[in-house]
Amino acid sequence: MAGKKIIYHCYGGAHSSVTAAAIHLGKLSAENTPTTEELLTLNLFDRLTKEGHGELHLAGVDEWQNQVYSVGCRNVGKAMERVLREVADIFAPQEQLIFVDTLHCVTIKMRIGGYISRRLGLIEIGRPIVLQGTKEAYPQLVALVSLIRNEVAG
Amino acid sequence: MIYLFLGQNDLCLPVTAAAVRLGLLNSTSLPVYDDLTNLPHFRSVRKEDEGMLRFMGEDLQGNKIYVTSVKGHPEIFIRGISSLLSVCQIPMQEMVVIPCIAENPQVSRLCRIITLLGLKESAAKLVSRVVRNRFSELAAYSCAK
Repeated sequence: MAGKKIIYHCYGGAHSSVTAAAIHLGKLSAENTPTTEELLTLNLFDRLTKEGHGELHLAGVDEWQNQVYSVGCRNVGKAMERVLREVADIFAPQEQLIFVDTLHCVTIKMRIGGYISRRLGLIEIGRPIVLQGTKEAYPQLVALVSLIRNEVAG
Repeated sequence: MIYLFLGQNDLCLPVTAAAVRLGLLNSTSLPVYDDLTNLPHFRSVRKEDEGMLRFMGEDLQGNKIYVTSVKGHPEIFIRGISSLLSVCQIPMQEMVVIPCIAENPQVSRLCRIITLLGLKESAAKLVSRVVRNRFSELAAYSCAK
């Protein structure tokens, strides 16, 4: 049987959900806070625009063959989760979807930096702020991901 | 095949389009107030309704018709559904999502507030006017292939 689909979601799908998916897959170490370069090597980090909101982006497959996705849902994450679950129930009831909201891990610096970089397009100003915010939020993201990994293990 | 009529803040517009598709309303004549209010799920959206798919019936071709409503950003839901179908390897043409949004979605929000204040009939009258104003478009949506 195919693995589960683990969907990390946040507001813009560019920072916390992308980072959480990378932690889940071991692309970022759970022990150490990542460097700026490590965060920027993630394909979608601080890159997704509003045109990509709602699209599930495959980050990779974990060691238990679960597919790990990130997605930006703005402020309708709960409703999005419900719609996608209902659609999956109709077409593919065998699919196990696990939605993980990473928004509560987001710091004020991530919000401000993300807004400046993604919404206003002022990347030179916003990116350093969001990078610093992501590093500060990293322990919370690691804790959240370890809960999910324990849940899906085996 | 599944048709999903997607509303924003109310179920009235998607329910009307779905009713035309199902033959519950005549697409060539403007429905009266009672025709509309007697339709199942014809109302403002409650918190627990958001994103919940409601089955309306099957059309003459055997397509299943659903309605749902969300509080905002309908385009994200459309992308999300097509993306999910894609990752589950389900053909895109298996589900058609048809947005049925008021020209000014704030009117739907106003109806929701009026309903919450207990003035359900006033809200129903207001939303019926919105539906009647948009009826030709909704009837056209309901004919989407």
